[in-house]
Amino acid sequence: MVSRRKALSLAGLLASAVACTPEFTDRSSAVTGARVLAIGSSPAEALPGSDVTYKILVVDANGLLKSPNVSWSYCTQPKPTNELNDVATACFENSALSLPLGFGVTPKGTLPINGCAQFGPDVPQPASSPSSNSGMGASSSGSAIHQTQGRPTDPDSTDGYYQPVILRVTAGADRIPTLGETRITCGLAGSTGEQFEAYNRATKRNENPQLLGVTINNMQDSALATLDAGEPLQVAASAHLSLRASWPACPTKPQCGDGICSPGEAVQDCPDDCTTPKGCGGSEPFAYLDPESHELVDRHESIRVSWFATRGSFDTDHTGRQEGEFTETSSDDTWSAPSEAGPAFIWVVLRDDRGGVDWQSFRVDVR
Amino acid sequence: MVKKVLGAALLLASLCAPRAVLAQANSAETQAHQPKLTKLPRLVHFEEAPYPETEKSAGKTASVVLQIAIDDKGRVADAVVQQSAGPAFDQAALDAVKKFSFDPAEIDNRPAPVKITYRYDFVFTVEAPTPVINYDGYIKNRFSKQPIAGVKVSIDGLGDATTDELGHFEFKEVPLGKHIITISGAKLTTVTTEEELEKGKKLSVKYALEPQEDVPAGEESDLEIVVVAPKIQKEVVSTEIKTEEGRRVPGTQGDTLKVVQNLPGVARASFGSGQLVVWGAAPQDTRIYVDGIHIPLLYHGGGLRSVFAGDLVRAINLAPGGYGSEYGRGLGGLVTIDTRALRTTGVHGFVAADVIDSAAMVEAPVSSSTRFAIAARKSYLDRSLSLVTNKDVGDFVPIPDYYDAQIKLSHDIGHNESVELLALTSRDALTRTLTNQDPAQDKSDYTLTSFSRVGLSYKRQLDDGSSVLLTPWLGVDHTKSQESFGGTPTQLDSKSTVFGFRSAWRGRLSDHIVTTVGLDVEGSRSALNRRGSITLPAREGDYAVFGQPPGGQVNGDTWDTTILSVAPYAQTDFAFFGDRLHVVPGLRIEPFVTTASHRLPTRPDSPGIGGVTHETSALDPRLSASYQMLPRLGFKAAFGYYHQSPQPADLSAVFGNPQLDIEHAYQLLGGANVKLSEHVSLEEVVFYTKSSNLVTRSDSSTPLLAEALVQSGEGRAYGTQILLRHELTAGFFGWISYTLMRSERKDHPGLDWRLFDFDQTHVATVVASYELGRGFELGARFRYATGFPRTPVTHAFYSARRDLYEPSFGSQNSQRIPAFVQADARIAKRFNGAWWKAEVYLDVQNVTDRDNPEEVVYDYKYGKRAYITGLPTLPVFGARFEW
Repeated sequence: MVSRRKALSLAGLLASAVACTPEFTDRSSAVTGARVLAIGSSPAEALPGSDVTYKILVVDANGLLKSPNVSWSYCTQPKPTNELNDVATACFENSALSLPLGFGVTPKGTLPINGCAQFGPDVPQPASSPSSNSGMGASSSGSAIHQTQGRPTDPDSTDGYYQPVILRVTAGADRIPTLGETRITCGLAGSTGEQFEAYNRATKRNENPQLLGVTINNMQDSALATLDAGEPLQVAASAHLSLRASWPACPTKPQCGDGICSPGEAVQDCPDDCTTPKGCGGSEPFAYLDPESHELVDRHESIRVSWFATRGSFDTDHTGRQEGEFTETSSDDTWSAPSEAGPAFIWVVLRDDRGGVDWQSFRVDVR
Repeated sequence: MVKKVLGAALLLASLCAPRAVLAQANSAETQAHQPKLTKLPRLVHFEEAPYPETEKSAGKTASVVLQIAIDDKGRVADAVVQQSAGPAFDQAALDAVKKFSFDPAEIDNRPAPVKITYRYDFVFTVEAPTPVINYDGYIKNRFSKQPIAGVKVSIDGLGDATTDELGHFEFKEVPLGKHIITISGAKLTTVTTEEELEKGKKLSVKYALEPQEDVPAGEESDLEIVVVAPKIQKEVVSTEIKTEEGRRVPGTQGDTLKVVQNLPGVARASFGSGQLVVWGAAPQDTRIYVDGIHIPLLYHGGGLRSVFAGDLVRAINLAPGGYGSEYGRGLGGLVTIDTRALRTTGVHGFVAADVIDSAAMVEAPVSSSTRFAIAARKSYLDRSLSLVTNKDVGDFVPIPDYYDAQIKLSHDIGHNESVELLALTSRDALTRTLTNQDPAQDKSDYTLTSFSRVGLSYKRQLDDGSSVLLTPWLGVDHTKSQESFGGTPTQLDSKSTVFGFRSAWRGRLSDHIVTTVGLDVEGSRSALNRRGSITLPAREGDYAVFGQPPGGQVNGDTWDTTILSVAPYAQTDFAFFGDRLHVVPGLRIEPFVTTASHRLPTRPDSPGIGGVTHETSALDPRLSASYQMLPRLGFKAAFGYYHQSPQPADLSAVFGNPQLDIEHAYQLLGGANVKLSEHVSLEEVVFYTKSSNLVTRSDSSTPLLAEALVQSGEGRAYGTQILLRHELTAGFFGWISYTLMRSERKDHPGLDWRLFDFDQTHVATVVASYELGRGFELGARFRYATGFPRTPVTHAFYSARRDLYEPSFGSQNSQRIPAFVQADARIAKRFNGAWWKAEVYLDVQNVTDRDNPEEVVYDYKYGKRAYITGLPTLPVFGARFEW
């Protein structure tokens, strides 16, 4: 359904700059059919060649789909520069350009060994001849790039590189092509050796954020119950619930023994925290090499919250916290219950901007 | 010269003769029957006798006395010589009088035959030769066709003439041969032309003059002559619109230069872009010059206004292709803006305002030889909008904030010698900040586009009619674009110092050969830095949809470029068949030098790889021909090669390719023009252009380092354009333009041709304006344009990391936005005072409130599509006061 907003029918305005923009009534937060809402990997970031366990959140208007038909594969084809998407479209169309990974909702896979060459800062290779280059640290030597002719992949705005994962999801009659991406640990393009060392000190591999829960601000901070947690919350029809998604705070300074392997801590200095690295679950700090100034910059992750519901509606489809708000540990949205009684399913997906994800599923019974 | 001057003498003779006859008749009647003569015969037809050739040498006066018998019908029954003056005179007299006829005499009140004595006098006189007009003409207003009085016309020292109220002038007994005609006056720009007078032929000419503008009554106009010698050969295909017409076109809000968008061969710009797409060429391929000074753009942001004050413009000329060798560096069209001569008396100016911006200009003489004008414009649309809406409009669209200013200084060095200074500046800023609770939807835009130019122009008209023009100029360009879409920042900052020098000599080598030689130098030194996604901004040919979030990958680069080309050129106009056929071959030799500061991406830990210098020479032959087969029917054709240097922004080792070479094109056209009446003309042109070596994105998934852009693109465009035009006369002007065109691109060898992103099959415009009287003026414009091609989204996939859908595309540019159809109207009222004029106008766009699709948009998962539609009915009210 499209409505037309006649913008500013006033005398004298923008002869051509102000136009009338259609408004689509379909909203991403409304789950009306089979959809993929999130894909997660554990670990959230890994070296090429490492084993990774995946999970997927597939839902439809009736709630969570526990056993959708999902086929997983790794795309091996770098994206042509004349394609604006995040992945080569050919990987969806030509199975020869992908490596099978597995099936189901929690497959395990091994990241292709040449990920840093195909999708990272190393010398790109044709898809048919995977490189044995592991990538880690190798590309930090600038002369290596200058001696080659291939154009490396550009990092994202967090200096991240990603191994594309192609998913073919079938839920009933619905086919849902989906792109998953696993952050791979590669070198730091355009850095000096000193910068790379400083980068490694200041940056830990990304860990998935942790959604602590969703509370209801206008109901004495009671919490939404997850699907697995027991009885669903009962709310009145047309009620407005002020929801708050929360995640942990990250320490502002590294402190050995806090259970978090923060930047600046290493397994040698703090084996308790870093032997099995654990992130803070919130807005993690990391170092970023500015591609223009070639200087390292201390940054924090931004956190994004995606809200979904099978019934009712949210004020905003997405909320979150900007990078500069890294000390904040929650984000609010309002869900308006439907006017008719019945169950409503709500999903809240938490993402950091380095590829980490977490989610929870809830059920609310509308009376 | 011998001339008979007998009429008066014979008339007297005839009056005297009856008296003698009467005396004799009375005597006869008295003796016989005493009849009574009651009425004398009266000569009613006199026949002039030729002066005998045999007697001319003597040159004497002679008289022959004859007796003429007249019957009762008044006819000459007989004639005899009574007193001879010689045989030749006698015979001439007899022959003549026999052809006399009379009102018969009456005797006793009844017609009766009589005889009379008649003296025929021959007088020989030699008349002094009467001066004969052998050169005359009319001078009229080129547009209104009205005669102009008071224009002084001189013939190389032989004398002067001044046009009368009918605009007429004439010269008598001008010696045969060639003469330099000078059209001048105390308040005229003196120009000369050459005319040749031939034996036995009278030369009648018509000169059309261009009044700069309407001047209050009582003040003389400063005029500029269109007809000069040697004639300036116009481009074979070009459309020139005068300021007076352009200002009155609906939809332009009084901005003369916006009228270019309505000319044939020009695609309708996509909304809010203000881009010039001429004959299927990319917007940056069309070059724009003001008095020979190159400027980077013609319109302010959004296409709302032009960047140059229309009141300083004499004419704007669009040559969509096939232009001569004087210009180059562009694969597309050529827009030349000629500023007008400044007035020599009085202080003049104007102030104008509407809801978009305000503008003002002052013009005055400093001395008898020096004049200046200064103009400026500033927008305030953002504040206008805040008065009528409670929304922050900037949340929806960037609101342009712009200004421009111009200074022109003219100084007459001497007779037919002048120097002019032209300085201009323009700045556009677009700002939008759209905060959102969602970090990925937090958006901000900032775009700055500014340029400044200062140029000198030295002109001298030599006595032999040739002319010299020197134009050095210097300027700076600054463009800055910052865009943040969620966590993906994009920035491009480019600062350039630009310079140029144009020189030209134009003169007549012989009766039928006029040649132009010159040098065209242009260069730029640019410092750029860019960061962000390589895919943003999208390029022509990208698979993308409007509003698509940029890719998440980012990079950065800082680089410098130098681009220089020095182009000597020459073209010669050969005239044949009495000036009906003109053949103009031309040649432009243009070495290009392009440097980029680094060949490969820079890294802090490695020594610099060094820059790259690319040297290429282009040889651009041009040929045009026009044949005026009949006074109202002419034909034309042109062919030419064109080259264009790469854009500095494309010479990045990270985002582009520092080794890009020049792009090529050739253009071929032919057409005919018919003068349907004095004011109505019809022109049709068929064209074909082919371009190669075009810069496109690499389609490789593993492109070579520093080769994100490659030069494998080709382009072609072909079609026809028709212009039916009624020039401004008697308060009416208008035109119908129609372009049928197809423009295609092939990005890489082996691929199929696809439609160009800006292709429009049909573009039709109807413009009309009429003065209703009493200062009222009514105008209308109708436009039809095929929608731009777009690539359909066939399906989409979900990107889980970014939580958004990304489109998958079908066949490239295989669908079109629906056609654009719009009618606009303009009504204005003028007020005239003794020393001032004022105008108020209402310019209404889209009077039918039609929803014109302008762009395709999709919902968040690309499952539904809709169109952004253009403006609803939009009245723009403005006023202007000038003195």
